[in-house]
Amino acid sequence: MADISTLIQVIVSALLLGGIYSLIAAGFNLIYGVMDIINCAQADLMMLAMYLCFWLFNLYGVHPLLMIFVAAPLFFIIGTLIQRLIINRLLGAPSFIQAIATIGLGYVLQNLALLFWKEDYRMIYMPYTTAVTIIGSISISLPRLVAFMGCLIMIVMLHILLTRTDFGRSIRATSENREAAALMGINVKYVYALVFGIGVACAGIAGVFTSTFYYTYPTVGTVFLLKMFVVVVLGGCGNVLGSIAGGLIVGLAEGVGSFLLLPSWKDAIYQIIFLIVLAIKPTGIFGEKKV
Amino acid sequence: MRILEVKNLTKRFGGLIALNNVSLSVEKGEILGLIGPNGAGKTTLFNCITGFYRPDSGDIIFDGQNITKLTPHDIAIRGIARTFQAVKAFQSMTILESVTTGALCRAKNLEEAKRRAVKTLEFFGLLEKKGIPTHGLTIVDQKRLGLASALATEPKLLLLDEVVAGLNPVEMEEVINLLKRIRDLGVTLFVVEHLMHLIMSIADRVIVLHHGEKIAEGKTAEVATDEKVIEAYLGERFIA
Amino acid sequence: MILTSRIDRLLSPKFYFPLILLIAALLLSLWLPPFLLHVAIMIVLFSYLGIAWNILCGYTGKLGWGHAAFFGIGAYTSTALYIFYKVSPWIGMVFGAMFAAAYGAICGVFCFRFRLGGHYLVIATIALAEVVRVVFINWADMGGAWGLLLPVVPDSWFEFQFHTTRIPYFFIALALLLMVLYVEIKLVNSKLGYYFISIKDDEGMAESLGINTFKYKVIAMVISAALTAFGGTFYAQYVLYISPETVMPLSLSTDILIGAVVGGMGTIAGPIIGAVIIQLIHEFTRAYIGRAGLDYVVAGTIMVLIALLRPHGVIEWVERMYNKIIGLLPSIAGEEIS
Repeated sequence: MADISTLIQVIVSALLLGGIYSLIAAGFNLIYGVMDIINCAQADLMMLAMYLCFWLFNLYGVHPLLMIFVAAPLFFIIGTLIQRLIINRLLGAPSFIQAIATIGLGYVLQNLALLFWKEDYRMIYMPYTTAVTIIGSISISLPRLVAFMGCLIMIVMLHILLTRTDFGRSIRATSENREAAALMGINVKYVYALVFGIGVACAGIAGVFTSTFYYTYPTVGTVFLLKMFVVVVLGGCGNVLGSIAGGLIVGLAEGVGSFLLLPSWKDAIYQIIFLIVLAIKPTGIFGEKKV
Repeated sequence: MRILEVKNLTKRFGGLIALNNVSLSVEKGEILGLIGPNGAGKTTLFNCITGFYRPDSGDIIFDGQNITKLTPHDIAIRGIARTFQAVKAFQSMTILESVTTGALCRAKNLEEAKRRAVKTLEFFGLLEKKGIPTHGLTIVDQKRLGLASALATEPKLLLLDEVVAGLNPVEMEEVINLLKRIRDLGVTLFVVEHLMHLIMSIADRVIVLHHGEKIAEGKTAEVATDEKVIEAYLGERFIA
Repeated sequence: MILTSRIDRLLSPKFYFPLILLIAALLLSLWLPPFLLHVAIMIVLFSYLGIAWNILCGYTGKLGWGHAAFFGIGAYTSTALYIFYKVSPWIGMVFGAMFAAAYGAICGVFCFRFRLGGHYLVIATIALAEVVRVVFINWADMGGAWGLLLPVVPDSWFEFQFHTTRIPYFFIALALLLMVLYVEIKLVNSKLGYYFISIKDDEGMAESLGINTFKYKVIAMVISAALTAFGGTFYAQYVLYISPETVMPLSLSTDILIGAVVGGMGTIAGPIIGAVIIQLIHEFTRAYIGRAGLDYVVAGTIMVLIALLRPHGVIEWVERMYNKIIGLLPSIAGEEIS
């Protein structure tokens, strides 16, 4: 019988990864909640951020965590560009068509990465990435812990932005009723561009954190995308705070699953949980929300 | 003979009570009217009868059988057809194809369904237009098409939800005559209307709903002068 | 006279042009170099798969993104029966379709019982397909993640393998395509066709006309699944190696539906046109660039462009061009009888 501390270690490790899922999902939920747009390229954008950190570390020795300050604005701008060029024309389109467009975008990103950087698995190797902290009798990977807390802080900050600031109020007004918001003087196009930018920035920041302890490769986005969908449905489509719960559940399921069963089954665990949730309460544990 | 009985029907949406203990019955062969101000629960009642909503309590008995918990298609097969308030039509199909879809309910095969559909189109005077795609029709014609498709299922009871909304007086007369001809075919009609004019000229009896409750029932002329009814309509458009 | 007018109709360009195209395709295949023959086979295969997908998704409007599971079940069933029990792949194909149909029924009942639609349906079908993939990755007897290698035997119709020339594969693929086209045309003009399209246009109204929408959606899924599985068996016999990563991945589901979307969902020729476009891009960019990647960059760009500019597919353009060509061709009978 494996001992309890191994069990807890495995579970905690997986749970912490859930924080990453939550942040990616939070960005997705923001976009979906406000604009009704399904951004399937969310995880592939995260992949770009991961490569950004990897190359800047390998070429110039930049500590990945510093990249948050670069990635956030950079991906925000990338997000607004994508919104202006592509997403704008998808507003109101059926969700299948949105999926086609954003998955197409994801393909482009994945395969450009493949073309330029090959399919090799990359990893940032520095003392930080293998550091551990010991809590009680459990050793926890430090970058994972930092990533988890960082992601949670980001989500909470996003929530505060949405609920306590004027800007957040404009966003929520626009998401409730586009025409009414426009009549009240809110520049809807501007809001949409900003919202998409913030959503993509979330993916970028998530990528920065992930690069400190996870392999970087062109198709890493696909893996995270599927988990993100499950997180989104679990926590409630469009529900930013709900992403936290969804991410924790998926993380927990992965941890418990890989402990009880072979690790190769863990991909099926969260899919099955997802199917069960779809059957029982498709609007998610915390319900769908307009942002 | 009662073809439809609604007993103590209650339907809630969250905290809102849409139908509160409503009971009524429809006699075979009659034209029964259902009126009431907006939000009175008329469409909710129709949706419960046709299986689109599950009532919270109460029973619906059709032709002696309890249909309360059946699916919409089961209820349609048993002989209740309906039209919808919003324009609902098969946009990818032609007129003939739409009505054929309805006729498939009773026909043994596609060929027979097409033949019955042609007969139904003749009845409606839509035969020359049979090859026109639905999306090319006016709203008025699309509504007529919805009615034709419903009639093609050869129902015993036909529920009509605001079938004259948006029509001018001439078109309304046509519809009134059409409904009388449908009744002559042996179909019982249960007609929801917002405008008293249609009900007055066609319905044998009338039921009035207000805030989800039945507030009056009886012969049309009596109900029209009932105080409670007039009060309910105060502030609403009331066209006698 | 009825007899002569029938012949006259056959001699009008509307009929003889497609026939000429078909015969040209058949003859051309006899002279094509191996690489182009391979491209042709892929085009035909993905046309077939796109049409099979269309039968569920284009006609009922219920859009699934998990058909790779059905493809893979078909491939694995026939391969396992062949390797372990020496069953001819032709018979294995039928069993593959049966198992895929069963899983299609499960997926259909699950998705449509809970009335999933729109993006929920997409994610659910992806999940249902992923579960199958993970099951096969962990199934040691089926080769696990390594997959199964089919034994190479000399050319044989019974064993469904041809090596001296791949032309028989082309003919088989073409036969499958013609079969599925026949099924589709019969379907559209049958009761089922009316039911499917009514479900796509307005499910509520269809129910009110006595149509059991749940039953017919499941039927559509089952038919689509079974047909897709045939393609899986064909692929297994063509490539002679299958694994969860090659016959069941999410990207395959995307590849299957992208032809239908680019060409035009819900149309008969749409998936074929789309398959031609996408497969030509795939095969030629892969061949001339050498490295993987560019083909999907182009495919991805096309996906974005189609979604933005022509969500209904390019079939309208193609139809217009086709009609122009038909208009220019002479009618052999002398007078245009349409």
